[in-house]
Parts: sequence; C-alpha cells; structure tokens
Amino acid sequence: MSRLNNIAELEGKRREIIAGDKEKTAAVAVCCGTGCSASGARDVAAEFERLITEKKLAVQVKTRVTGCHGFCEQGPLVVVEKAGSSEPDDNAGSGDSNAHSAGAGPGSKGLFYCRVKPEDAGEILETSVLKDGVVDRLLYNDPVTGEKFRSENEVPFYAHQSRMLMGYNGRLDPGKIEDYLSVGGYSGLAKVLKDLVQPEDVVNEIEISGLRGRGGGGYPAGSKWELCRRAEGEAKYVVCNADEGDPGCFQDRSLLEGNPHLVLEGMIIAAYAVGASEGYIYIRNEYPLALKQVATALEQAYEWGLLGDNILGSDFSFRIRISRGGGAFVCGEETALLSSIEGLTGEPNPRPRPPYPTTKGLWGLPTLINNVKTLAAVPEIIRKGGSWHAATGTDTSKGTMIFSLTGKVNNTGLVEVPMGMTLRELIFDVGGGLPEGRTFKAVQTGGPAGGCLPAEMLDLPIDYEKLREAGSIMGSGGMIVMDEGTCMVDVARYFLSFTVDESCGKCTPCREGGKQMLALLDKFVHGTALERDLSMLFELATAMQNSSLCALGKLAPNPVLTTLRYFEDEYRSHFQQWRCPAGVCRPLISYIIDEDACTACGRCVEACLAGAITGEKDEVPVLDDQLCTRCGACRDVCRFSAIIVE
Amino acid sequence: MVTITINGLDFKVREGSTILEAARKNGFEIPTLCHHEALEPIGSCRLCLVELDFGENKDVVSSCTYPIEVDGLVVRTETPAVLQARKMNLSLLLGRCPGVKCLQDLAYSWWIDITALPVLGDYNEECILCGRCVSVCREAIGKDAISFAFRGVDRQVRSPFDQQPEDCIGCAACAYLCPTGAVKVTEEEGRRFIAPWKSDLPLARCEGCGIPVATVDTSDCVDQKIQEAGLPPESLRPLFKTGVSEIASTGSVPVKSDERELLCPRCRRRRVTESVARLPREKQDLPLR
Repeated sequence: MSRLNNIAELEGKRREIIAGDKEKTAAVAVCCGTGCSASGARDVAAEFERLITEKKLAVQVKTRVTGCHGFCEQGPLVVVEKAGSSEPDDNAGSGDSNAHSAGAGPGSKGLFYCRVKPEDAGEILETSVLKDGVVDRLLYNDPVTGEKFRSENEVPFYAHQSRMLMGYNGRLDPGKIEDYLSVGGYSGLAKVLKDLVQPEDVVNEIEISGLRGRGGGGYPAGSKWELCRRAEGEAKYVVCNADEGDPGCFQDRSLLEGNPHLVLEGMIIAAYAVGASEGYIYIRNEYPLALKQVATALEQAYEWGLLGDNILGSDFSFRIRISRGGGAFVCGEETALLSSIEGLTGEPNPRPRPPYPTTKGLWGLPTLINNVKTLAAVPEIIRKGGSWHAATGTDTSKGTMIFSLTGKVNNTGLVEVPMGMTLRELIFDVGGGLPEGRTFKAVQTGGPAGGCLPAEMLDLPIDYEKLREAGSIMGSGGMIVMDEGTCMVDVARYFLSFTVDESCGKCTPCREGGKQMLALLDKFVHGTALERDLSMLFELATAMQNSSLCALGKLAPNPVLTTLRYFEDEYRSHFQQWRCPAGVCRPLISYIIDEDACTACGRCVEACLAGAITGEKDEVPVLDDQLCTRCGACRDVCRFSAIIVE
Repeated sequence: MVTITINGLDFKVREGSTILEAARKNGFEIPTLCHHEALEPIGSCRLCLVELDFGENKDVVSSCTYPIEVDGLVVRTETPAVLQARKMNLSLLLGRCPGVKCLQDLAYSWWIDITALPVLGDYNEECILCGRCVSVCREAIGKDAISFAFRGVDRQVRSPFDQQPEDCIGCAACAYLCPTGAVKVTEEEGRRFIAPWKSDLPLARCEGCGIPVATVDTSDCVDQKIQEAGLPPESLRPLFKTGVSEIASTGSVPVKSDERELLCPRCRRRRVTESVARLPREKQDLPLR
C-alpha cells in the first residue's frame, strides 16, 4: 500500500474499498473478542474460512473476524449480513455528517446467531448465506418470554442501547484498516485537516459536544484540551490511558481489540488540536490481543500516511508509541501512569498536584491524557459535529457510556447506553433482570472504588453528578449487580481488600487507613465488632477520602461509606445479633438439617469434606457444628432444600 | 508576587512558593513530618493538610505540595475537617509505629489518644515511610542508593536486593534527616554501619589527631563534587581537606593536590591558624575562606 498524500486520495481509496465490498453478496461476521474467543469463536471462524475456501465462495462471501459485540454471555456470536436488505448504513462510508440518525448508533440488521459451534458453520452457510433461510435453533431466545429474535437490533439487550462507540465493532475486522475506512474511518481527521484548520475550532467542537472524561473523573474534555493547547512547552504529548485495571471491566479492552483505528483517529485529532507531536498508548500487558491489534493498526496507519510526518500531505506530524503497563492498578491514575511511561520505578509514585499534567506532564512537558473511551468518541463528534453528540444524554453529561454489566444479571456483557438512563432500565431492560426470580439488593457502580447503591436508588439517572451525590462514581463503568444472597459487609470488605492490595503505599491515609479499615471490617465479619467500631470505621473512611494523595486513596473508601450509608442495619446485625442476614459471613452462620424436608438420601454425607455430617442410610444425618467449615457443599448437593443456613 | 488569604489575613507571597512556605513565613503553624526545606516536596505524611475555599467547593490539600500560582487563594489551616484528618493520620502513624517519640509528642500536644487504633504490625517499627531518606539520597547526595520496595502495606525502604548498596557512600544523610530515628548508624573499629541498608564502610581518620572523620567514600565524593562544580577555591568551605602548605605559599586553597590532608574540623582549624601564624607579617591578612 502506498502512502495517501492528500485528502482526495483518502476519499478515493475509501470509494474503491466500498465498491469492492459491494460485489460481495453476503458477509459472515464472527465475533472474536476475548469473551467469544474464550467460548471457542476462533474455531468457528476457522471453520467458516475452511468451508468458504472449500466451496469456492470467497468471491461472493466475505468473512470477517470482528471485535467484541458486547453480548459475551451468548458467545460465540455470528452475524450474517446480506447485500441490500442487511446493509446497515448505506451512507456510512461517505463521511457525510448527516449519515446517521442521531442516537441510534450503527447497529446491524443482519441475522444474529448466538452460541454457535464449529459444527453449525456448514448449516449457517447453507441456509442463511446461500439461501434466505434462518437457522431457528441458533437465534437468540429470550430467557423470560421465550421469544426468538432475528437480528441484533431486535434483541432486547441491544434494542435499549445506543451503540455510538461499540456499534462499529461488529462491522469491521480490527486487523484491516480498509474495513475501518469503509465505515467512514479517518473522515474525522480529514475534516479536521480540511475544514477545521484552526486547532481552536477543533477544541471548540469538543467543548460544544459536552464530552467528559470517560476514565471516571468526568473532567470536561474540551476544557482539558484547551488547557493543554494554551500550555507552553517545547513539545507536547497526547497519552491514551488504556490501563484498565478494574476487576470485571473490559470496555477499553473491547474497543482496542475491536476497533483500534477509532482510538488512533481520536488521538491524532487530539494531537492536532493541542499541538502535540508525540503520543503514547499505555496498555496493560495483560491485554495481549489489544496490544497486537493496536500494533497492527499503528503499522497500517504509518504505512498509509495517517501517522508520521506530514499526515495526509499537511504540515502536521504525529507519532504514536505503545507503552506497556506492568499490571499495577494505580498506574491507571494519570500521574502514576506518566511516571511509569518515563521508566521510573515499577512502583508508581502519584505526583502531588497541581501542576496538572496539562501544563507539566510527561517529562515535564504539557501532556493531554484521555481515556480510551473519551478518545474513541472524538472522531464521531468531529464527523457529525459537537451538537450531534450533545443531543444525547442529560444536561451535564452528554453522549453515551459503556458499562460492563456483570454479577447476578441475565445478560452480562458490555452495554453502551445514553447518559441519563436509569439504573432500573439498565439492569432490567438491557440486562434482562436477575436470574431465577432472585431479588435485587444493590448495584456496585464504578468498579472497586465506586459505591454500592440500594434498590431505592434504582430510579437514579446515570450521570456523573447524580452518581456522585449518591456516594458512588461513574468510574470506568463497572456495574456489578447483587442479589439478596450478598452480604454488604462482605462486599465492602472485598472491594476494600482489592484497593488496599493495589495501593502504592506512598501516603499515610491510603496505606495505613486501608489496613486499619480492613481489620475493622474483619471484626464485623467475625462478629467481634463493637458499637464504637462503627463510628471509627466512618471516621477512618472520611479521613481517607479527605486526605489521600491521589484518586485511588480518595475513592477507595467509597464502598465502605456507601454500604454504611444505605445498609447500616446490616452492619449492626453483625455485632448486635451476631448474625449475617445474607448468610455469607462464615463465622456468623451455621448449617442446619431440616428433618422434615430431608429424605435421608445421604448425598450430603458424601459431599461433606470436613466429615461434619454423619449418618446411616435411611436415617436423617447429623451435622456437627464444631466440625462444619461452612463451605456450603452440602447445600449445593441437596435436592430437597433440606439444608438451611441460619 | 501574588496575594493569598490565610485564616482571614491577606499576605503577599512569591509566586510559585508553596502554601506551607507562605504560612510558615507568616507565622502560622502547620505540622509536618516528611517535609524538609532542602528537599523537593514529598507529600506522603499528610499532616500538613489545609483547606482551600473555592466558594462553593472546599478542598483539603497538602500544603507542602501546593504551589501558589494564582491570586486570591483562600486557605484555612485549622478547620474541623483539616484537624480531624490530621489527627486521624497521626493516629494511623501511631498505629504503625507506637514507640516513636516525635509521634507521641505530637499526639500529646493535640490531645489525642495514642492507642486509638490497634497496632497491626511490629511494635518496634520505627519507620513512618515518609521518604526523606530516599529523597535526600537522590536529590542532595545524588547517589540513589536506597529506594522504596514493595507496595501498599508492605512498602519498605530498602537497598537493592537487600544487600549493601554499591552506591552508598556512608554519608548518613539519611539518618540525619530521618524524623523518627529509624535509620541507625553505628561506628565501630574504624567502620561505619548503617543498619537498615546493610552498609558497612571504612572510615577515614583525621591525619592530625586520628579520630574517625567520615567514610572514605564520602570524602572522595566531596572531592569529586568540588571538582565537578568547578568552583573557585575561595567560594568553598572544604569539609575535610586543606592543603595548608599551599595556603601558606600561594595564599589560596588548592582545588586538587596530592598534598591535601584529611583533617577533622578541629585539627583543620588549628593547622590553618598555625600556618598563618608562621607567615611573614605582610602575608597574614589573607582571606582564609
């Protein structure tokens, strides 16, 4: 591939690619995101490839190995698109700013198959690709209503989303820059170079869009860009924070794996706006696929002249390098991340602020740090204008947010919803509610440093301010749903133990405070807490929130503070009645055999590894509380619900 | 110069100076443990907290790390939130190092219970992990012999691989700056031991009276620094070495000379006085520094 020397050449190339794609009558897209790959999507993709080569169908049928579609629960996912009826968006390639209907997002109308196995490939190819039939058994089947859905857009999980960022993932092969161009890729960059020549105009467009930092802080991206643009320095940097460390979060990962060029384009536009000449993508080393895809994408972008010197024939030059993180959670904190890029000690030291990185960042020079999701939103904003982005969302929070929906919910996976959607809509409409008629108890938003919100808060619209008022944070978009079988003290202890583990230990409140709070929570779990421990816990959490050096320490007490605020009774029952209402804290519960329900089948006797359950056949067994380790194995094997937890 | 309001009083301070400097200069007391004038702000002990008033928003920040760059910053040094957080942080440090005198003294003066929090680790722990030793070694001495190891609750100050660090010159600046006395230095049989880093270095003796003056490496390091700096001899105050005979003959201190001797401060003073006394009368009013 030769270099693209100007914008006209880029548009010519794009038309060429789209025309080439039009010759194909059908496309089979196999999701090979990390989730689907784990359920065997690679084999499915290989099988499709093999069959297509075998049957000499390569001329008509295009196979695409795509990034994550978000519905990991149902993976491996396969989408079959047919020419004409299934062309999702005819104008997508033109870069025209009115191409998309606002808010709907670029979804797919193709046939949507889930839990596909390699042996199903042949049937799909025969029925749906070569003919117009449907493989009924592989369609998505709603677990509640039993209804079947044909296309991605109809599935309730997708129907309530607006996939502005994630939508492209299913439509392109992340390893091919051509695919990205065919959906309108790099037209944002072209627009910047052609129409919005002044960096001020680019920044202005971002300001109009109301885009806010998606890394969790929610700092207005426009203001940050403006600060960095105005800052003086011999060089400037743009850094993309892809150090996604929250357990159970994989939005950044999915974007980088599924659509790396989108992030690159965002970075290039940001660099143009602030006047940066070099950039870094800081990716965790635990994301091998993301690293690979980004490296490939960078190589292609350099080759095509979209990165490097004189981008698209302009006098703007920009280079991006990959910096690999070593797995420390605190490196997601921006100043710690900078230290790590600079090659300082593996243990990051959050720097005191101000000065903020926009004036004194990487190697003391002005640096713009944005999260993957923030940068990924940029190309579309430039393409369609800031006001298009500002049309979605609430007064203060615009656009969409990607959440990792996990825990006790039917449809786990990545969901992208407009800001302002209520928690209820997100969990019950998109997420499909809780399984097996379990009742909702709480939801933890914002990862381990976020807060637990109770059922009363379900109608809370999701935006930065509302979540903060409720004591939680947007964070990187974790969303863990919990049912009645979850002990809130245990939850607080679990999340706190994560942040204590990941604390760098530099400042006193985070290092010592976290340790002391964990010790106090242990007392609650063991039932040895006292009334004064409750107030001490609150004081410690408040002091830690007020006085820690960086955001990790300031946010770490959130789970404790919110559970104290909304579930104080549960804490109290741990030391006043010595019982754990959810039946989780082992020292406070005991297993009892219900003699009326027991049929003396003897399964529990076999299952008990501690030897605590003894009994002859045809006799109700006896449970020795002294020997019982509260592992719950007996309850799991009992078919008659005869083992009760008290 | 920018204006800052501290506890309701306006002051003009140099732009870029920290809140702590401004407050201390104007007589406000702010407690610190990790701060030291000779070092870059560290910001780890979190005792120097102050409250910033931005109208609607109030923010608790560490004063030692906060540079005053804009006019009209409103600072309060003793609000309830600040005092509570300071006390809690002191309690937390006492929960780590119950036996450290400077922490106990602060606790008594603030009327807080030194047993408010349980001691979760070693009762004999003396290091509060303020990081002064690490900073002084890196910034002032330029050696970087010690560093933080591990993270979170396991954080410690250690030498590389927990062995005698190659870069340590035994200057004991770390011990000098340690606020709690956790860095123990002993001298025995002509060697200096710095316990936490396992440093064991030979001492150089005064050529006049024979008492140990400093480690050999420290003396060499000072020599090297004098040379590297390329300073005129008159502007320095040589720590240990003076070429007394050359002062006598040329009237200036030599920068490098084999004849220079390692002397303890007392012997150096005596030797210089003696040599000056031996000079002819007309040369006796030469500047000695």
